[in-house]
Amino acid sequence: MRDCAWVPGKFPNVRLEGFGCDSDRTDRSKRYNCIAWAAGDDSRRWWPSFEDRTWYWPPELPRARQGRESVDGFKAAFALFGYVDCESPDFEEGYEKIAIYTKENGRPTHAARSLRNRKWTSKLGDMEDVTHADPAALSGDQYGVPVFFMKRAFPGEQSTPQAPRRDPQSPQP
Amino acid sequence: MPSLANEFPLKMLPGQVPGTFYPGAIGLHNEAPAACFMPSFAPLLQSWGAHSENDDNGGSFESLAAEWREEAMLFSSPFDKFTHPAYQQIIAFGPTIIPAILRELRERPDDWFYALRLLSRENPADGLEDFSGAVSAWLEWGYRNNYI
Repeated sequence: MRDCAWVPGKFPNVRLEGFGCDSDRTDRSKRYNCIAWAAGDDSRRWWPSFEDRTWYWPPELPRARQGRESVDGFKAAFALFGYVDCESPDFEEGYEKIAIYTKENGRPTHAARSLRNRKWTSKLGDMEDVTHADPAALSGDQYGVPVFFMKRAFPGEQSTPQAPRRDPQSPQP
Repeated sequence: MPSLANEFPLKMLPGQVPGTFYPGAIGLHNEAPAACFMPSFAPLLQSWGAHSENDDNGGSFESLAAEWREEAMLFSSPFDKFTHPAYQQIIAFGPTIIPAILRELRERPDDWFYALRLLSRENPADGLEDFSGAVSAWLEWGYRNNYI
């Protein structure tokens, strides 16, 4: 059963309008995280951890010591897949957007991705992935605020690079 | 007169002393300790090993692990996971908590690698990119060293 009744308690800015719970909470939900989900990969978890290579990070990019991750590093990862900086999360026909959240210290905490129906989708840590009305819906103590936005043409509308996915036969956490 | 076994209850860690941080345990051999030390760990590592697995003051391993699972479940950032107070309290138990962590890893695979590296000064999963493979490597290490 999908039970996301817990979400408003953790994310008080979530509004019922536009909110949806899109996956079951299963052991498999630990398989991927928010960054992977924003990049379109539900096969593994992404983070530029220098110390622990069980987090995937595009091999072309440098990794960072724990606690020293930068927004620029995350933007570089999304840029590999055709994303460019944009001003706002506002809907633009034909484009999908991502939002990168940070806390006061500037470290990235979360990423969300827009959908064709103008809603946004997020994987909440080890928990469910959900749809929400806008990036601000997840603002708060957990993830801080969405501060950087990027966009690209929706896949299929142009020759948009896609994030690499793990072989589905590979063992998963 | 304290026995060697009391002073060093884990034979794999003869040089480990309370209050000492080992950068090598987390692969930071080339940095000065002050540069790689997570500041929030400092007070806890100073009390390294001062608590037992079922410490009434700090909570049991099981209750701390449950607290960590509940409160860190929304984090994607490893740093946020590992600096959570409950996770740090578990590390502050010192190396004697390694068996409990390994049992937890066996029952509920999760991000315990950081704590295990820090506490054991070893990394049997070094270089592994697959989560399940890293779990297996740590459990095999635990069996081999009679921790579980």
